[in-house]
Amino acid sequence: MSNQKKRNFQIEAFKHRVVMDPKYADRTWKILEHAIHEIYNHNASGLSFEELYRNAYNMVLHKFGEKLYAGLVITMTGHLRDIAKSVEAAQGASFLEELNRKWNDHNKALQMIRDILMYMDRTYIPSSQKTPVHELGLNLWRENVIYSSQIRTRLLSTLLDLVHKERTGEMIDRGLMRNITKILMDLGPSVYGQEFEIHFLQVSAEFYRVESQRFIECCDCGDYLKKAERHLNEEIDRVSHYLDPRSEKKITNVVEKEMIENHMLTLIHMENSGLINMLCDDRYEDLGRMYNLFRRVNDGLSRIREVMTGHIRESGKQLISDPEKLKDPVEFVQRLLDEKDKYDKIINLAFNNDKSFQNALNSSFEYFINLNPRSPEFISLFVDDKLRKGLKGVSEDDMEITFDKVMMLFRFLQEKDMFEKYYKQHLAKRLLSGKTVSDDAERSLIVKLKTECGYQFTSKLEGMFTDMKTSQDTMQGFYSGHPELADGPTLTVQVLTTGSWPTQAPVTCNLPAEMLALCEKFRSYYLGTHTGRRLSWQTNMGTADLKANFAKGQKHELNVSTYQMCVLMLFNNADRLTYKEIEQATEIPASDLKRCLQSLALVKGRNVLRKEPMSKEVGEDDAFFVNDKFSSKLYKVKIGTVVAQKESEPEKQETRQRVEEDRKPQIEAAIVRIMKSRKQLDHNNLIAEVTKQLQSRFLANPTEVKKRVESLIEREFLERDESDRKLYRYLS
Amino acid sequence: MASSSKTITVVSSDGDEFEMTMKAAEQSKLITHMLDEFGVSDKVPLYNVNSETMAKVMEYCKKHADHEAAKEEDGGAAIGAGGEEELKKWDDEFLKVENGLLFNIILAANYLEIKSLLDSSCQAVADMIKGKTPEQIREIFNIKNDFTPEEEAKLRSENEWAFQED
Repeated sequence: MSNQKKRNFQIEAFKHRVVMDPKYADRTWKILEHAIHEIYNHNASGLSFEELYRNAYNMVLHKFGEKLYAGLVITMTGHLRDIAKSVEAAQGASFLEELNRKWNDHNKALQMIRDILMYMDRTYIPSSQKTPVHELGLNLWRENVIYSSQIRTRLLSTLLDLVHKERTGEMIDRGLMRNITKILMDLGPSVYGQEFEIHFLQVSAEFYRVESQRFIECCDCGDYLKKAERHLNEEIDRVSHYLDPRSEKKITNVVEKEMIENHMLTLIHMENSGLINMLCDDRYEDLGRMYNLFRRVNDGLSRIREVMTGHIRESGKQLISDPEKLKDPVEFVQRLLDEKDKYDKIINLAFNNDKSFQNALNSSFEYFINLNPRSPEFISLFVDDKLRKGLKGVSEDDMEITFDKVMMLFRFLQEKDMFEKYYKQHLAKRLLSGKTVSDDAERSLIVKLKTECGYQFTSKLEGMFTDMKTSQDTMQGFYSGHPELADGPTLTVQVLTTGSWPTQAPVTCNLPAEMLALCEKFRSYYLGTHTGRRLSWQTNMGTADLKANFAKGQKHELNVSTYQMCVLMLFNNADRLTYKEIEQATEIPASDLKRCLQSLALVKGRNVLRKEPMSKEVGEDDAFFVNDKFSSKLYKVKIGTVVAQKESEPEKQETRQRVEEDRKPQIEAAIVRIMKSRKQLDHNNLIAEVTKQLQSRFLANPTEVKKRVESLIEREFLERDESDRKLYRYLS
Repeated sequence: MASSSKTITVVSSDGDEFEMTMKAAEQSKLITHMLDEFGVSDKVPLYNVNSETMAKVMEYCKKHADHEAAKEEDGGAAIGAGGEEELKKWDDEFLKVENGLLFNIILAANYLEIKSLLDSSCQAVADMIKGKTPEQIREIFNIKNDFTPEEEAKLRSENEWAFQED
């Protein structure tokens, strides 16, 4: 025997060898088997952990691991079969309780067994790739108890039955349900799914199909939605109490599909209670509920949006084609604003400020506002009304709000240049008659228009304000330079720059002599300081204050138009005048003169003249007298203010024509701009570009554009390509 | 789990009782598990280990428990890097026993789940085998040669490379 030099002590041959013979292995196994029995029979207290652990350890150490494992499987299976029998035997309600109890027993036993067999779990099982003890215990339970033919179906039907009971209002033992579903979840993700969830979802779908059918037939829309919401919440509550959280999405999908998706259109179009009724009646709560429920399903919201859009367009169309509603423009625009407010509120309160709904609302408004060609005019009249009197006493903030709302409507207009024309007219009348509520208000609105449309839109309007201011200064200068005129009639002149103000056709009118002299003095004064300019009197505008003496010493101050002044002054030198005489003397155009005389003679409380005969129409030979019997409670009597009115048919036509005329050069300018930069472009693209450029002012008519192109070709700004007739080229 | 008494008693297969501190007992995973599960009441039976082996195991556990306590106390300052070296030397000396005892120590460490002891003791045996010829190994461990001469010759020729002296 050779000694190792490295070691200091004797190495003896190894003597102790423990060999486990098969008989010993059998005996050891018997001990363990007995222990397992005792454990399952709730008799574990008498067992020694150390002894059992040691025995299992020794079996594995001596290579009897396989025998141990196999024995374990058989023994445990046997016990589980007994368990299954006892569960099957349970009656009625105690079925689930028995199952739950036995599961707890099994788990306790399993833990003890695993502790004892820990050495095997650590060493033999990994190397032999067998299932670890705990997992084995679960698998065997699954195979022998859950999958036992009697238990399997009975378990499912019991669970589904309890769910159904709870759905129909009965109380059930939620804790027990929770324990049972937990067993299924513990046995593996597919067990819960296969043994319960799939069937649960199926049965639920059927249940809700029937329920929804029942409700649809007897409930109105609002009630049905309430019920659907309640059921959804119920199911979510159910999941939280005794189901796998991952079931929540699946069951809510079922409810959504059966209760909502399948009945979407029926609900929306339900008579007397559907979406349209809700919109009309401002039922915010119902609408909000519908929005929240429908957004859970595909296309739900787009259906709502569709119907809402259709309804707004329809009712808008009705509004603008109803002649009654069109009689009063201010009322009309107010109605529009009210409608917009109404839907804004609905979208805010019920539809969660959803942008897509906001857009749908805007496009609907844009659609029907532009169906009425008079919309630009009416909006301007609305603003006019507000600026004359509507905003009197209103706070600055409220004024801003009103203007912002008007701007919103303005944005919807496709023919913004029409609006500009009317606005100028109305503004001119307001300024010249001094009838605006507040200068600040006027300016505030102009600023808003400038922000919206750019400087060009408002430059002329601002020019009008400037003229008014300048005229004030001019008048001051005139009177301080001519102190001798202080005793005569007081003249106030507004000098208007022609380009800024609405164009007026020149009119004839003979001013009374007193006025004529004064006017000429002013003219020379003005031209003295502004050489090279021309002044022409706009006699169709303007007002005069006359002091009149009637019979019996009645004195009144009359506020009249310029025309009316001319007419009345004639009666200083004559008591009776025929229409013809008046016409000759004043040279006022016939229609204007007739209107003027009507307002002086035929309006009760303002009839300072008497007409013979008393007919409404003014005939050539009618005679006029001063009405000595004229009386009025007021000292100052206002006759014939110049109010902006909705235009008559011929006036309307005229304005439209003018606007169309104005558009022509704008179109041409756009065409030239585009062609200059592109050098050549085909017809369709040119039309598209032109339309886009002019969009902010008006909608360009393709036919008109084509005409302008032809005209430009004639004037040799453009030429057509020889080979391709649709191609245009720019000629510099 | 926390017990007021700081020691426990273990009983060997020969019936002898050994006292050990809780800290020392915690070196063995098996003992720790049994204490967790069943509490410290009676003596802990460890009938797979005889007294001779048990005494050695106790010694090991105590040494390592003290070493750990010292580490915790001074935050390692008292021990330092040198401390680990020292412990290793102690382990080496500790395992210089006759084979029989050594093999019993291995089995006990395996049974009681004392990883460090298991590793060191196996390493010690491995060192015994390393560099030896088959005949020498047979001598040390008293292994009977059960190859026929032909089988042996075949194996040698197939594994020529292993037998070359360097």
